[in-house]
Amino acid sequence: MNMLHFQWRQARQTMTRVQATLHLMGLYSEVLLFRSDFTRDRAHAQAISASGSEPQETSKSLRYWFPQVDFSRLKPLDPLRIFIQLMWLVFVKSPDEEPATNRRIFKETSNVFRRAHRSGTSLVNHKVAPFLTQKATSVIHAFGEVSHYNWLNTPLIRVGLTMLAAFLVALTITLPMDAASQAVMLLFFWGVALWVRDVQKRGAMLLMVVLSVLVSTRYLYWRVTQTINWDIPLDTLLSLILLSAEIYAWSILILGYIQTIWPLERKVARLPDNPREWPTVDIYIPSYNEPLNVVKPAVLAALAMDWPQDKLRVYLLDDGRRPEFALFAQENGVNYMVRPDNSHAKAGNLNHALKKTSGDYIAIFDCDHIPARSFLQLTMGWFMEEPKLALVQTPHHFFSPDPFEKNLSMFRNKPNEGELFYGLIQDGNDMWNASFFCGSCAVLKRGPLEEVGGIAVETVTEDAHTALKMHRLGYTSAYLNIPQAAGLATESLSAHIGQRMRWARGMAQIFRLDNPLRGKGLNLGQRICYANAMLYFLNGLPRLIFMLAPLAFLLLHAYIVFAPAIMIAMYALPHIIHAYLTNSRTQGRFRHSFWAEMYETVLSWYILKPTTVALFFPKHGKFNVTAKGGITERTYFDWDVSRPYVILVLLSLLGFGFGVWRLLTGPSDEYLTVVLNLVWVTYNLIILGGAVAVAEEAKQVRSSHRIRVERRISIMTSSEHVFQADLIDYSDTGAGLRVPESCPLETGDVVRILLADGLEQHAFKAQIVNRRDQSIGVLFQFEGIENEQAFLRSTFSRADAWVGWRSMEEQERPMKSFREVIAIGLRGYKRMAKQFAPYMLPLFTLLERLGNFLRSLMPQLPEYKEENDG
Amino acid sequence: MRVVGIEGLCGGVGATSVAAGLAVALNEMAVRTIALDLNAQNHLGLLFGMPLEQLEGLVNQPGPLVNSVLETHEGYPFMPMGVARSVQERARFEASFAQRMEPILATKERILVVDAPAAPGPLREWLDIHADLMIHVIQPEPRAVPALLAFERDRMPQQEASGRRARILINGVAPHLQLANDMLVFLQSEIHRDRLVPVVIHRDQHVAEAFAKQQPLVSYQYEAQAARDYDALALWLIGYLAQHDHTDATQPHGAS
Repeated sequence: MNMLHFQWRQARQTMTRVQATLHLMGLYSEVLLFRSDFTRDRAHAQAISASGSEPQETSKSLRYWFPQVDFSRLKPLDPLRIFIQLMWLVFVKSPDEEPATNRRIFKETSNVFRRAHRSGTSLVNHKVAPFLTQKATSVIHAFGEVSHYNWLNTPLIRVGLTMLAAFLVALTITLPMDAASQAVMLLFFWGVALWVRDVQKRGAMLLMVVLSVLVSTRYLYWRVTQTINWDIPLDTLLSLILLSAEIYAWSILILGYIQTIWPLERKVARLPDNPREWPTVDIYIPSYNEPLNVVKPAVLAALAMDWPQDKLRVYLLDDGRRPEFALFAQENGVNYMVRPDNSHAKAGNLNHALKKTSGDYIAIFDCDHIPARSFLQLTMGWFMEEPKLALVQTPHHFFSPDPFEKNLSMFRNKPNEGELFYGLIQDGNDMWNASFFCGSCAVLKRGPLEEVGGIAVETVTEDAHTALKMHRLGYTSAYLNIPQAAGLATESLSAHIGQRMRWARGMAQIFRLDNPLRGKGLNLGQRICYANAMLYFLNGLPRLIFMLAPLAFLLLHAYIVFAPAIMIAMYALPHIIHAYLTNSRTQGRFRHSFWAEMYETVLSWYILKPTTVALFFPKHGKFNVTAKGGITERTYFDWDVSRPYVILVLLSLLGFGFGVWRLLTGPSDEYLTVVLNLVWVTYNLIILGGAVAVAEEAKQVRSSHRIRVERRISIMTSSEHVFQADLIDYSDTGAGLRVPESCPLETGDVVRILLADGLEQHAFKAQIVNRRDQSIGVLFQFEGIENEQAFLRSTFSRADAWVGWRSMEEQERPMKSFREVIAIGLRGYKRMAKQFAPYMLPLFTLLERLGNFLRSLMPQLPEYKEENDG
Repeated sequence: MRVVGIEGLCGGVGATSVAAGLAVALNEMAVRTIALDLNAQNHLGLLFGMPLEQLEGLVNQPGPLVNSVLETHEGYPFMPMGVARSVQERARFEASFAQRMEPILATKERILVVDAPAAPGPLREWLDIHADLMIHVIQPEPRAVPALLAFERDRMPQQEASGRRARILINGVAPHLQLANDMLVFLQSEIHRDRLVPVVIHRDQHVAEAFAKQQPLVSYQYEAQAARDYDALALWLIGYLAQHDHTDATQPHGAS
C-alpha cells in the first residue's frame, strides 16, 4: 500500500488526477496480464531511452501495447480504445505470436509436437514421438507439393481419375440444393480456400483454383437454368443481357486460370563460349515523331551493347524524315533509313528495313526504350538451344510513372497496370508456348519472320498478330522475365487510353481476321492463351452492363435475376469471394485485388466503341502513335476523359436514392433484394469514384525522369579531392547525390562524378545546381558522345539497372486493397464535389475524420514507436 | 600472425600509403593489425604521425623487437624501420631479424602488414618466406608496362616456384584522365583476373594532404574516397585470409 501511495505521488507530479489514475491502472494491468514479457519489454524500453525518468519509461512500454493511445495527452475516448485493445490482446491475439507469419498453422502444429517431445523422458518421448513428429511435420510441410506423385502418371490412372473427377464435378455443379445445404457446402469450400491460402505450394494454389471453378460454374449453371424470367419481356431481355455478361466474365475467369496456372519462369540459356560462333544481329529502332533527346539514349545504348562489334548493326528507321536525325545517325555510325511512303506505320517501317538488311536476328526497340548492355547476351542463348525458336520477348519496363501511378501517387509501391501481363501472364503463356511479341524489347529470327511475310500489316496490333502467324507455322516463342530495357510510360490518362484503344481494336481485329480458335497449326493451350488475350479486350460492354445492372431493379423494378434474394446471396457471394481469393493468391504479387477493377473500369467505356467497330468492320481504322516524354506544368482535371464515369456516377446515385426510397416504402418481402442491389450499387460507386480520381492529372515538371536509386559512387572536386557519395537519383541530364557534410562544394562548382561500370571507371563532368545540407543536385556536361555513352552504360543500361525495381515480398490482402480503393474512390468524390458542389466539401472532411476516428478505435499490433511528443 | 606484404612494382606507386591505409582500416574493423616498416626509406612511420626528427626504429633496437612497437593517438600500432647509423648496424639487424621476429610471429589472431623492402636482401627473403600474401602495387601509368614485364620475368616465377601467393593492386585510379583511364583498361585486360585484387584505390588529393599533416588518412578526412577504398581492400583481405589457409583463422574481435 505504501508503494502504491508512492507511485501515486510520483505520477501526480506530472499528471492530472484522471491521467494518473489511468496511468497506474494501465501499469498494473500490464504487469498482471503480460507478466512474463514485462521485464524484457522494460529492458527494451530502457534500452531505447537511455536517459529518462521512471514514469516516462513505463509510458513507453505501455505505448508498446497501446500504440494508438498517447498516454501523455489522453483523449476522452481513450478508455474505450484501451478497453478494445485490451480485449483484443487478451482474447484474440496471443502474446508470443510473431506478427505476419505466413505459415502459422504449421508452426503451431510442429511446436505442439516439439513441446510434447521436450517435456517427457520415457522411451515413447525419446524414440516414438520424434519419429511421429518428423513424420507429421514432413506430411504437413509436403502438403500441396505435387512433384512426388509422378508414380500416379500412367495412362490408365489418368483416364480413370479424369472420369471420376468429371463425374464429381458434374455432380457438384448441377446438384440442386436448398439455401441451407448450399450455405454449408460453400462455407466448407470457403474454409478450405482460406486455410490453404498461405501455403506456398503449387498444389494449394491448384486446390484454390479448382474450388473457385467449381463454385463459379455452379453459380453459372444455376443462373442459366433457374433464374431467367421468361414471363415479362422487358425482364427477360435485361436478364439475358446480364447473363451474357456473366458468361463472358466466367469464361475470362476460367481462361485466365488456365493461362496462368503454371508460369514457366524461364531462365537464361548459355551462349557458346566462343563469341565467333555468335550470330549477327540487326537492331531496329523505329521512330516517327519523337524528339531526338528521347531517341538518342536508346540509340547510344544499342550501339554500346555487349556483342561482337562486327556482328551488331544498329538501324534508325525514321518515318519522320528529319535531317537532325540523319546527322545524328551519321555522326555516330548508325545506319539511317527512310522509305518513300509511310504505309502501314510501324509495321511497314520495320518491313522496309527487313528487306534492306541481312542480319540473322532482329532486335526491335521502340525508340524510347533504352536497352541494357546485357540484352543480347541474355536473350540470344535460347536461339542456340532451340532451332525452332522464332521469338524471345522480354518485359516492357517503364522508369517513369504511368498515369495511374502518377495521378494516384503509387509509383513503385504498388504493382502497376502492366505488371500482371509481364510478370505473370506472359510467363504463363510461355508454359503453353504461346508467349507473344509485344512490339519492342524482343529478338526475332529472320527466317521465320520472312516466312510469314514480315511483320503483319492487316491489324493495328501487328506484334501479337506476327507472333500468331509464326506459331501457326510451328515455330516456338520464349519469354524471359528479366527487364532488359526500360522506357517512358504514357504521359497522360488520355494518351494511355488512346494506346489501350489501339490494342483493344487490334486484338478484336485479329479475333475476326485470324481467329486463334480456328485455323491450322496451334495447339489447345496456344488457342486458349491467344483467345483469352483477345477476349480480354472485349470487356468494355460487360463491365458497363455490371455497372448498370443494379439500376434495372432500383430504377425500373425489373427482376433481372429471377430468384429469391437469399438464394442469390448464397450463390453469387461465394462465386465472387472465391474469385477474389483465388486471384489474389495467383496474381496478388502482380496485381492487387480491386485495383484491377479500377484500371479496367476507366478503360471500359473507351474500348467499347473500337472493339465493337472492329468486330463488325475489322479492316477499318488506322495506327496512332502514343505520345511520350512530355511535361504537365500544373495539376489539372481531365473532365473530358471522366465524363462517361461522372454520368454513371449520377445514374448510380439516382439508383441509390431510389433504393433507399424502396427500402422505406416498399413491401417487406423485397427488403433483402433492395439491400443486395444497394450493396452492389455502392461497390460500383466506389470503383467509379476511383475511375474519376485517376483523371486528376498530377503535375510533372521535369522533362527527363529521375530514377531513384541508392548507390555508392565517388565525387571529385576541382582540386582533385575525392569523396565518397551516394547516388540518389539520375536522369539522362542530371543527378541527385548525397555528399558528406564536410565536402566543400557550393552551387556553381564544377565536379566530376566517378561511376564504376563493372571493372571500368568513368568520370563525368557536372555542375552543381543546388545544395541543401547533404544533398546536391548536378547537371552533367558530357564531353563528347563517348562520354555520354559511358554514362548510359553505367546507369540506364547496366545489366542490373531494373532488377529489384519494386519489392515483391508483400503478400497481397484483398481487404487491405479494398480499403485503399475505397480511399481513392472517396478522393474522386471529393474532387467532383469541389468542381460541382463546393458547399459539400465539409461533408468529405467530416467523412475522412470519421474514417480516421473509426480506425483509431480498431485494435492494433503492438509496436515500439519513436517518441514524437515532448 | 598472418603476414601481408605490400610492395611497389616500381618506385613511387604509393605502396607505403597503401600499407598504412590498409593497417588502419583493418584496425578500424577490429582486426588487430601491426604495420611493420621494412623499407629503408623509413616512411611508414611518418604516415602514422611519427615526428620527422625521430630516426630510431627496429634497426637500432638491440632488445626484443616488440619494444619498437609505437602507437598513434588513435591506438594504431606500427613499427618504424629507423635509420641505421652504420653499415654494420644494418648488417647486424638484417642477420638477426628472422630469429628476433619469431616471438612476434607466434602471436595469434593478428595481422602484420609489411611495407616491403625495395631492394633484394635478407629482409625480402624473410618476407618472401613468411608472407601469406604479397600485394604488388601498380599505378595506371606508362611506367607500369615495363614494371609488369620485369615482374613477370623475375619475381613471378620465383613466387610460383615457392608456392607464395601474390596479387596485384591498382592504386591511383583517375577516371578523369584519359591516359590513366586507358592504362587502367589495359592493365585490367593484360593481368589475369585471378591475379588482380578486385578493389582499386582512387587517386585522391586527401592522401597527399594527410601525409603532409602526418595523420592517418581516416583521421584527416574520414569521408575521403581513398579511405573507403582502403576499407574495401581490408574487407577483401579478411575474406581472402579466412579462405586461404585455416591454420590461424583471423576473426574480428568482439564478433562472437
